[in-house]
Amino acid sequence: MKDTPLANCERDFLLTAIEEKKRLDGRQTYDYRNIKITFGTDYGCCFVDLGKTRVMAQVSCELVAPKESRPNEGIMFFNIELSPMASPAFEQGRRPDVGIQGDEVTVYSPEERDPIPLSIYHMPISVSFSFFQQGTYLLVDPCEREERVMDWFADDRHEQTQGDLLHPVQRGHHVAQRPESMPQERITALKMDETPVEMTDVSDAANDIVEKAEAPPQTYPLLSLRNKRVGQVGQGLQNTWGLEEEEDEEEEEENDSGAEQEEKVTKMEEEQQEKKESRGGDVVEISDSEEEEVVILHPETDKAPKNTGSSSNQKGAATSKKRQKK
Amino acid sequence: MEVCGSSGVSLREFGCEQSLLSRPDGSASFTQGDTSVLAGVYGPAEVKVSKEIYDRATLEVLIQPKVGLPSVRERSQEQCVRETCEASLLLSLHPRSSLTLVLQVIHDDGSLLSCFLNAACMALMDAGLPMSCLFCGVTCAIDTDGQIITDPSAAQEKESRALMTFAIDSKERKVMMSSTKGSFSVHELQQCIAVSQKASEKIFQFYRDSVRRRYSKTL
Repeated sequence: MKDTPLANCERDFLLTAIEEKKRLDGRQTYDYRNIKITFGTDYGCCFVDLGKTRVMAQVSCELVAPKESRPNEGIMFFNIELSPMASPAFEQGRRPDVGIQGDEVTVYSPEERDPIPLSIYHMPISVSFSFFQQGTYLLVDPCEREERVMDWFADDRHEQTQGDLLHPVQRGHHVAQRPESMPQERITALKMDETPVEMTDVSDAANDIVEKAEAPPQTYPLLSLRNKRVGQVGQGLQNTWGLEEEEDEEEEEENDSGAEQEEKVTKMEEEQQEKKESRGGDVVEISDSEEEEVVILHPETDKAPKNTGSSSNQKGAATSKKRQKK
Repeated sequence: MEVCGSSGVSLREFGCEQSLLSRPDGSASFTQGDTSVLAGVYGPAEVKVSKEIYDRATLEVLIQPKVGLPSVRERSQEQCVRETCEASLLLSLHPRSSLTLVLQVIHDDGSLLSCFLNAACMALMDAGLPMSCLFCGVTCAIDTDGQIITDPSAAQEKESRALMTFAIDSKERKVMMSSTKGSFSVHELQQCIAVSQKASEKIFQFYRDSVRRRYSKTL
C-alpha cells in the first residue's frame, strides 16, 4: 500500500499559489488550523485534532526497580506509532521491543490508593513552519499537500516561560539556501497592539539589573568555530542568517529592559515565535544533549551558512550557554 | 446489567460514526459501552507482488493495541477478523489488489473482539467495498453461576468462567466465526449461539438506522 505520487501540475499549482499568498484551504500565510483537544475515559489518554490530523497519546506506567546506576530516577520511554491508518505511506514494520522487568516492592491498585499525577515543570508548545522556493516563502502549519512540495520544515518549540528552540529539518538531500529574511515581519501567537516603550533611564535600569543579578554558575569560553553547514535562528540566539552581530551576554540574566528587547526583536528573524514578555539577548543552547562541546556561530553578513537536514548536526553546533530552565 | 433471561437480550449502549478520517477510503468508529474502536480501510489498492493473489483481493488486517506493540494476542484477533471479512467480502471482484483494514483500540472495557468486528463491518460499508452480507460481533460470557451475559464489560469478563465471541451474518443469522475461551458444556455453547443470534438482530437494526440517518442528510 503506497501513497499516490504527487503530480507535477499539482505541485506547480501549489507553489504558484503560495507565491501569490494563497493556500489550498483558504488560510492566510500565518494562520493555524483548528485545534481540538479531548480526553479519553481513563487516566492519561488524550486526543488532539489539528485540522484533519488526529493524534492520540496515552501515558502508562509500571512500577519497576530502578537501574542500579541511577537509584533515584525512573525511566521514561517515548513511543511513536505511525499507524497505517493515518496514511498509506506508513507501512507497518518491526521495531525493537523495549520492556522492563522488575521486582515490585509494594503495589497498590488504583482502587486502594489514588494515582499520583505526573509532575510537569514546563509545557512546551510547538509550531510548525515550512519553507518554499529555497526559503523565499514561509507558511505556518502546513497541511499534507503543502508538506509534499516544501523544501524545508522547521519546528519551533516555544515554552511557556522562556526560550525558543528551532530545529530546522531539511527535506531531501540537497542543501538549501538560507531563507530570505523578511525584515520587520514577525509571527506572533499572541498579538499585542503596538505600544510605546518607555525609553528613559533604560541604560541605568539595565546596569541595575546586571549588578543585581547573580553571578553565573559557570562561565563558558567563547568559541567561535565557524561551521558552514549549520545555522541557527531563535530568539536569544545568535542569528547566523545575515543579521548584524549582537553582543554576547555571559549570564542568563533576566533582561527586562524594553529597549534592548525591542532592538533585538527587530533584528530577529521572522521565524521566531515571540511573546512580549520573553527574555532577550542571551545566548542559549539549542539542544538538550548532554554534550559539553559547544559552538558559537558568529553571524556573518555575507556568508550564508548552509543548513543540513539532520538535527543531530544542529545539536553538535549548539551555542555556548546552557540556558537553565528554571 | 447485561444478564440474559429467557425474555430479552440486553446490550450496552452503541455508538457509531462513519467517514471520520480523511485519508482512508473508509473509516468508522464503533463504541459499545466504554469499549471504543476506530477502523480504517484502504482499498482496493496496489498490492506487493509477493502478496498478490491472481483471482482475488488480498485482505490484510492490522490491530493496534492502545499500549505497547502488537503481540500474539493481536495476531490471533486479526486472524478472526480477517476470516470473517473474507467470508463476507466479494474479493473476486478485485483480483491482484490489496485491501487493508486497520483497527485501533481507543478504549478496552470488554467485548473487544466483537467491537472490532462491528467497526470493521461499518468501515467496509463506508469504503463501499462489495459484500455478500453484513456481519456483526457478539460476545457472551458465562459467569460462575451459569448465567449467560451478553456484551460483558471488562469486570464481568474477569469474573466469568467462559468467554465466547461469535460473528453472525445478516442474511441467515448463521455463525461465521467463533472464538471461545474457558470451559463450558455443549449445551451452554448452543445456548450462547442462540442468544448471540438474537442479539445480532438489534445490532443489524442499529447498522441500518445509523446508515439511514447518515445518508438521509446527504440525499
